[in-house]
Formats: sequence, structure tokens, C-alpha cells
Amino acid sequence: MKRKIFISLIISFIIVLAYNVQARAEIDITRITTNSYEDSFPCVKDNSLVWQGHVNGHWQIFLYNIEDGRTTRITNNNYDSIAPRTDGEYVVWFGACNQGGEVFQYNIATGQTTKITNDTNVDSPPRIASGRVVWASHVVGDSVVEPGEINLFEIGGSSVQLTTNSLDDCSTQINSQFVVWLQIDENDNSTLFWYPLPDGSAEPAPEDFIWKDSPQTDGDLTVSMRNDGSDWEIIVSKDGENGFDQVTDNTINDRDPCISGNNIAWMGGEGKDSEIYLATYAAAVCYGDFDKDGDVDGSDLAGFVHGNLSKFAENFGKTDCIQPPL
Amino acid sequence: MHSMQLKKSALLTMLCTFFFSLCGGLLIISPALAGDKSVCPLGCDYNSIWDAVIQVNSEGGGTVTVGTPGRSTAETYYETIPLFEGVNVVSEGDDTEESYTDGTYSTTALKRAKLTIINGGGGAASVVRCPKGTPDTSLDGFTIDNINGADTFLITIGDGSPTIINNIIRNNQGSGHSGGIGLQGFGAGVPSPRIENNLIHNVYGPGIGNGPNSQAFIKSNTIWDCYGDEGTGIGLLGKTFPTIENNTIFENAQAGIGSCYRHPNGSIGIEAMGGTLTIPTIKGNTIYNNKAGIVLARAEGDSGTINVIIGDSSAGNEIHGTSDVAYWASIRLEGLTEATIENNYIHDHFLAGISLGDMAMTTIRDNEISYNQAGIEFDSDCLNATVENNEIHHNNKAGINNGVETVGHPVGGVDSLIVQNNNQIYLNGEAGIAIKYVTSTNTIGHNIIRENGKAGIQVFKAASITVQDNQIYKNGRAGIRNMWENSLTVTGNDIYENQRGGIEIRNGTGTIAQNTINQNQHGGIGIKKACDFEISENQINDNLRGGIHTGENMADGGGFMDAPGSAILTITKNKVYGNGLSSYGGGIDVRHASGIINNNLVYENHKGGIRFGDDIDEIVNNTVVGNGESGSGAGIAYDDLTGDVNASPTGCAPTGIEIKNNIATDNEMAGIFVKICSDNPCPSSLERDFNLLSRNFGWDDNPTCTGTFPQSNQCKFQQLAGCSAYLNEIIADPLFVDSDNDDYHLQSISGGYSANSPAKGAGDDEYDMGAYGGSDPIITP
Repeated sequence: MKRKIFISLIISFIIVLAYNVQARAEIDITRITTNSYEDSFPCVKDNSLVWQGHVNGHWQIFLYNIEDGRTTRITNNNYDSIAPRTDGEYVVWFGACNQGGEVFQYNIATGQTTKITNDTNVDSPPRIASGRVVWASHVVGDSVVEPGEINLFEIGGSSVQLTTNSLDDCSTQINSQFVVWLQIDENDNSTLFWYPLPDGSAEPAPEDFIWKDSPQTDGDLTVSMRNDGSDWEIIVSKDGENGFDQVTDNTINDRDPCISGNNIAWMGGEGKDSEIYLATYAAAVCYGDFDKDGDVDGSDLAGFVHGNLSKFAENFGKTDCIQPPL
Repeated sequence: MHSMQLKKSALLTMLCTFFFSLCGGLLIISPALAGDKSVCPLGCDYNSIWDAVIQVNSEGGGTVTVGTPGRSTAETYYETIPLFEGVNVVSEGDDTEESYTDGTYSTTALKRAKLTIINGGGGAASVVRCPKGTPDTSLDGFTIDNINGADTFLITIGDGSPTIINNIIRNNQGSGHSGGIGLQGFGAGVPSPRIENNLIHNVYGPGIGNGPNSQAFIKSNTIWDCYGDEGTGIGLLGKTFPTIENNTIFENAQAGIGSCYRHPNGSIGIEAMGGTLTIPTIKGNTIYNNKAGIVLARAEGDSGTINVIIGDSSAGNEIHGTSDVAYWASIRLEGLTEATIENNYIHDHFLAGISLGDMAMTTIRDNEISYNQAGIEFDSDCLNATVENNEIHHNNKAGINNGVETVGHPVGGVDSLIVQNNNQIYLNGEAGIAIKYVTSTNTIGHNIIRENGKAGIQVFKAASITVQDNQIYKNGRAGIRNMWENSLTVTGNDIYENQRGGIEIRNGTGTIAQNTINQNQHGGIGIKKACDFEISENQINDNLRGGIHTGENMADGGGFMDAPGSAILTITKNKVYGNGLSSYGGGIDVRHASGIINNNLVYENHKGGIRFGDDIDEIVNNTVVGNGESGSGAGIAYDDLTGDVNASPTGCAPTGIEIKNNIATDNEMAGIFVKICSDNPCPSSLERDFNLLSRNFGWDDNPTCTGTFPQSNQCKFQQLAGCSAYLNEIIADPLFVDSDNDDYHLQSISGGYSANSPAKGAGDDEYDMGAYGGSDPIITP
């Protein structure tokens, strides 16, 4: 009789696992901001999460340390500071402090803010990677905002102008290998240019060059949005795998996600109700691997039965699909 | 006996019966039939397969087992053989696998197949012929090798349904279509073999050639190195219906699966022949480094219905190339009636991921399409296409291309294109969606279009485009660019952080409504050429340049390329704030436009709130608050275009226009600044009246312009740029509900509030003044 029960247990375990062995990610969501003003455009890298918050009539830049949970307000100005980006060590943004605006940089380790530009040019919001900052700068001439030129600034070093021509160089991107941008000619045609780092030369990018980097992709994970019929939700997918994991499932619009490692940030809500959220994402786990040794075997059965006899008895013999616990 | 026991007994009996039936079946089946023969060089019934097959056939069927038991070296039989009904030809041995190497490619094959070779001796005849077989006829576990003829396959099946399994089929050095397995039904013949788990390679022609009437079931084969003009992995020609699943097909000279396409001898392909050809779902295949992935093209002159399904929800195909292989599209369909392309992973092709020409109806869903020249391309008069829930990214050109010229792309496009339901279109080298097909109707809804190299949606030519409820952001140029005289409807989208403007209009007519357009690096909505648009109920904020603007940042109207007034704009009920972060641009700056500007809420833009030119017809019921900075920026101002975008307003309006029921407060310069040509008089009260002004031009501490002369008069004049207020104009604090938190509704005690005016309403129409007044007020939370 005991043997029959044992065999039944094993069969039942296998049946239960057959229904339950499936991928299920672990996602823990933290609401980073709780305030009455608008928070938007988050960017996360390593342990640093930055965003802009509209405080007392102006956009200000905020930094959240994921490791220790501390929020730092980086700017406190009577002008707008927008479009923050971080490489994990520095934060850069566009500050509308004067005509044309300026590019700013904040050292996360020292807490020091530095104005990278100080001119009357119209500067675009900067991008940063590995301590290098790029932006397009438009000189203001007589009644004309001149076509843009691309500038590169190495933090701790100096600024270099990568282009000098009469065409409009704009739409910059940077990673650890390249600066890329669009050059728009008089006929409004655009050509992709690149500048190999650290000290290459500006030239048209090869025909088959494709810019791959995005704040929405890190490694084999990509975060994005999905409209569920009533609003936008955040999802995460893994390269080479069908489907996705749903990060949010609520009644507000969740938008503009970004990812670094297993940290996913986004903004949720509209206007003054919008807040910044952060999720830690653990890749799919195999349900049934209770001892977390990477497989599902007898030791998992033993572990499962131990202390779960009532649940086991309840599930035994069921033929309907049993959902794994949430 | 208890009834329960009876039931248990009956159940036990049934189970036992079933069990012993199975066992019995095995016992009965296992013994060799009387007609079975063995073949090997020495010591078997025969040393010729041919002889054994003939003998077994004459005895009514059986199995011919070939090969010396326990052999460790290959035995080669130099002959050709027929397959007859009821005669199974099987190599001797178990199903042990071992490695099989061809050049640099290694896989596994049955050991007995490697050790049992039927060699055609370089002759011109098929090694195996099967004029007619049945399901219990099989060829199992051989190497079929070495012929050299014209248009001759190593195995030819003309009819019946034999099983061709576990074989290695190779080395056909012939010409024309001298492939691996040829399936062609002549007359009434319907070849419907099961072709499974074979290795087919190094043949001149198709690995498996499906000719007319083929209904083969082709599964789990590996096919490579098919060369010549007809060197497809699995070829389809004529009216053919093969089932193609779970095969691995690579490095073939033509398509992995497909009809001969652009064959040197002319257009040949699949045919409906006036009827219907429905090809079973092609799925589960891995197809890579072929000249193209899957090519299915209708033969020239053919008519009828051809339906194709490539992948389904249970399984798709992986189709890919590498940078220096795979010259054509991953999937090319041409001239078909209906196609569904679902759940495929398509990447790294030199041309498009999916290329469609002359297609009547195509549905493309749930695919991942990446690292191709373009993601999806349409050409040559396609009629209808629906693209939904695909991931289209990192393609070198556009994500979806309806008609733009690219390498290898014939002229044309698709008439009706629907892109909907969560397509993720990102990081493509050019536009996310590019449209250049003048007759096309395009509907783009509920998609993510982000980080593409150029515009999010680029319209060169089209009949109409509807862009609804998309997320369009961080693209290299504008979120949406329209260049053609089409109908354009843009509603409900979030358009942000694009590296030029949010929406750039260079032509067309239509509606831009209920969008959120913010933090783009140029303006929110930029109008560059003649057009006719209703712009309403949008939230346009924090763009680096103007919120809604015509022209560029230059003097003399530079940047607007048509005659002043040719942009006809109806600008109503928009919430426009915080624009001009670069200090170049205000709220609504439409000096080149004609039309009306009504019921807009325009506040805290870095330059002027509303600036207009010679051709605007009316400015009514706007709330214009707190615009301008550093000595620049009026609330509502006329400008004659002689200055640059940041120059102070100049000139006089050629005629007076209706400027009424507006609230203009707290602006850097005058609340309303309009003079009439030619002697610069102020507008008459028929033209300008019923406005509320306060605290403009720095009079923050004196909202009602009270006090002693001359300060009070100066204050009043500066509210209206040197003009006096008319009888129905109010200079007083508007008493907004909560301006600190951008709530510009009027308190009930406000002078602009209609109920507060006993004689008549505050505005000339007896409604409230400002954006929340009038007969069609703005609605904001």
C-alpha cells in the first residue's frame, strides 16, 4: 500500500509539474516618486536612475540611488532642466538657463555640477556614454540659427567639435565605440555619419551600419510598451524567445521605459499624477525547481511534499490546468 | 459479485485486452513475412537489391533488408532500383546515429545509412524510381549517390505515397533540374510521399522538387548545397501542394523554399491554373544563408486563387542570412491571392525581411523582423495588407516601406496598408514607416515607433494616412513628416523626444487632434509649406522650439517655402505651454498662415504666446498667460515677417481682424500688440474688443492699472501696445482658479466670467472670455 501511495505521489508530482513547469519572471515594482507634480523621462544605468520633475513651475533633475534608495535633487533652478541621461557615473541634461540653453553635467560620486557649455548657441539635449558627452550646437548668427555642428566632450578632458561644415549636423547618439549623427543637406536629404572613438574622423557611416543601442535594451532584454486595449503597459522580452513578461497591468498609462541590468524604470500616469517607477526583473524561473539547483527532480519532490502535504493532496489527481502560484 | 467489483473487472479486462492486443500486434507483425529477402555481397538471399525487390514484388510484397549484419565499412551497390507497392527497402541495422560531415558542415545520420550506399555510377538515370507506391512502401536508411544526367533526380516519385526516410541523398552532378528527390505527377499521378529525416545535398537543382500535383509531406529533412539556376532547397513548380515542416535548409543557390524566381528562362512559378491552389502551412523550418528564404511567385499567365500560409500560432519559421550571403528577401511573395505570414523570425537578409509584390491580400503578424535591408516592403500593385503585432527593428532602411525605392525594389506599393495592434518598430536605419505610393490609404494605429534613424513616420506620397493612438518617440528626425498633398489624420498619439519636430507638415490636408506632443528638439507642430489642417485639442508642451509654428528660425519667412497665407490652419482648443526651451520659439507662431486661432490655452512659452501675420482671420477666446522672457514675447502679436523668430514684432496688419474674448495676462511684453496699415492706427472696436488684459509688460504689481497719472495710463497703453482699451475690454486680474498649478478656469467673480456681467455676457457672445469660454470651449482636466 505504501508503495502504491509513493508511486501515486510521484505520478501526481510529474502531472502537476507537467502543468506547472513554465517560465515565470519575478518582478518587484517600487514607486520611486510620490508627489503632486509631474515626473517624466526616466533614464537608468547601473544603480543610477534619473528623471525630470516639474517643481514650482520648472523642470528639475532628480537622481535615485537604487542601491541605497536615496533620492537627490540635482537641480534647483528658476529655469527648466530637461532630458536627463546617465552613464552610471555622470548625469547630463539640457538646461534652459539662457538663450540657446546649455549642457550640464553632474558627477554622481562627488555631487558636483559642471556647465559643459557656456555660449549663446542653441544646444541640443546631450547624450552620454562611458564618460563622453555629445550634442549638436547651432551657432546663432544674424537673424539665423545656423546649421548644427557635433560636439564631443570627454569628462575630465576638453570639448572637441567633430564637424565643421555648412550642413546641419544633428540627432546625435553615442556609445562606447562611436558617435553617430545625421547630416542634413540643403535638399533636406539626410546621411548618417559616424566618428569612431576615441579619436577617429567624422565620415559617412558604412552603408550597412545599423545603430543598435537603446536605453530600452540591455544585453538580451528589451523593455517596451504594449497597448492592452485601454492603456499602455510596460513589457519586457528576451532575445530569441517568443512572448514577453508583463511588468505592469493597471489602468494608467505606463510609458517611456528604460532598462539597465535587471532594473527597469518608466513613468506611469498623466500630467501631475505621473510618477517614476522602478522594477527589478529576475529572468524566468522554472517552477518546480524548489531547491533551485537548475532542474526538477526527486529532491524537488521531497522538498515540495515536505510541509505541503495538504496542498499536494488537494492537487493530486486533478486534470485541469493548475496555475502556478503568483 | 458487487456491481463496483464488476465494473473494476470489466475495466481490467478492457485494459488487458488493449495491452495484449498491442503485444499481440507486435508478435504478429514482428516475424519476417514469407516474401522478405536479404541483400548483401556474400551470404544473403541476394547480392543485388534490384533482384531482391523484383522477387519480393513477385511474391506479393515484403521487406528487402540490405547490408551485411554487423558490417563496419560501407557497402556500395552499383545499381538503380525501383520501389513497388508493398515492398519496403530497408538497410540492415539499428537506428544508431553517428556524425556525418560534408565539407565544413557536420550533422548526424543513421550509421546504417552511411554504411549502405546505392550508387548510380555517374549514370543518367535515377537511382531510385517509384512510379507508384503505397504507404507501406519505404526506402529507409540508404545513401543514394552519384548520377550525372539532364533533368534527372536521384529519386523520382511519379505517384503514390511511399516513405522516404533516414536517407542520405547526394551528389547529382547533372544539369537543368537534377536534384535530390523529384516529385511530379504525370497524368492522374499524385505523388504524395512522406519524406522525412533525410539529408540531401550537393545536387544540381532542387533538393526536393515538387512538380505539378505533388502533395508530399516533407518533414525534418536537412537540405543544403543545392546549386544551379534551380537550386532551391525545396522547390515548388506548378499546381503543387506539399506540406513543409521542420526542415533545415541552408546554403542553397536559390531560395530555401520556393518557386524558381527570376529564372533565366523566364517567369515560372506556382500555378492555380484557373482553380484554387492552397499550399499547406509552411512552418517549423530553419532556413538560412540561401539566396532567398522563401520565394513563392505565381507563374506568368496563370490565373485563379493561390493561398499561402507561412507560419502559424503553433510554429513559425526562422529565416536568416549572414552579411555576405542571402542576396534576396527573406520572404518574397508575388502575384498571390492571399498570404498569412505569422510567427516567423526573419533576420539578416541583404534585401527586405518580407517583400511583397502584386499581392491581393496579406496579413503579417507576430513576426520578428530584424537586420534586413528593410523590414517589410511592398511593391508592384499590392492591394491590401495588414501588419500587426510584429517586432520590426534594426533593419537598415525603413521598418515598413510602402513604395520607397530601395535596392532590388520594383516600383509600386500597397493600396491599403493597415499597421496596427502593437507593432514594435524601432531602431531601423531610416524611417519607422515610409510611404511613397500615391494611391495608398494607410492606417497606423496602436504601435510603438521609436528610435528610428530618420522620421518615425515619413510620408513622401500617399492618398491618405491615419495615424492614431501610437507612441512615436526618440526618432532621428520628426515624429511624423508629411510631404504630399494627401489627407492626413493624426489623433491620439504621444509624440515626444524626437530629434527634430514632433509633426512636420509640408503639404496635405487633414486633422491633427488630441495628441500629446512634447519635448521634441524642434517645434511641436512645424508647418513648412502650403496645407490645410485643423489642429485641435492637442497638448503641446516643452518642445525646444515653437509649439505650433510656421517657417523656421530665420528672417524674412525663411523655412516656409510657399506663399504666405497658403497654410490654412484652424487652431482650436489646444493646450500649448512651455515651448521654446531653446529660447527660439513661442506658443503659436503662425505668421505664414491663414485661418483662425480660437479657444487655445497658451501659457508660459518662452517667446510670444500667439504671433500671427497678414492672413489670419480671427483670434477669439484664447487664454494667453505668462509667455515671453528676457524682454521678448507678447501675448498676442502681429508680425510682418521681416524679423527673425526672436525679433520684436514689426509692421502693421493690412486689415483688421477679429480679436475678441481673449484673456492676455502676465506676458513679458504687451498683452495684445496689433496695429493696422498704413498709418498704424489701433484696430477698431469692431475688430478688437471684449478682451481681458492684466499684468502684461511688467505691470505685475498693478493688475488693474490703477494709480496716478501717468503711470496708470502707461500701464493701460502697454497692455495693448499703445492702444486704449475699448468699452468692453477689461483691465483687471482675471482671477484664475489656480494659476500656480496651471488651472486657468475663471473664478465666478472674475470679470471675464459671463454670469458676472449683468447687462450681457463677458464676451461679445455672452459666454466667458478666454479658452474656457465661447460656444466651443477647450476641455482640460
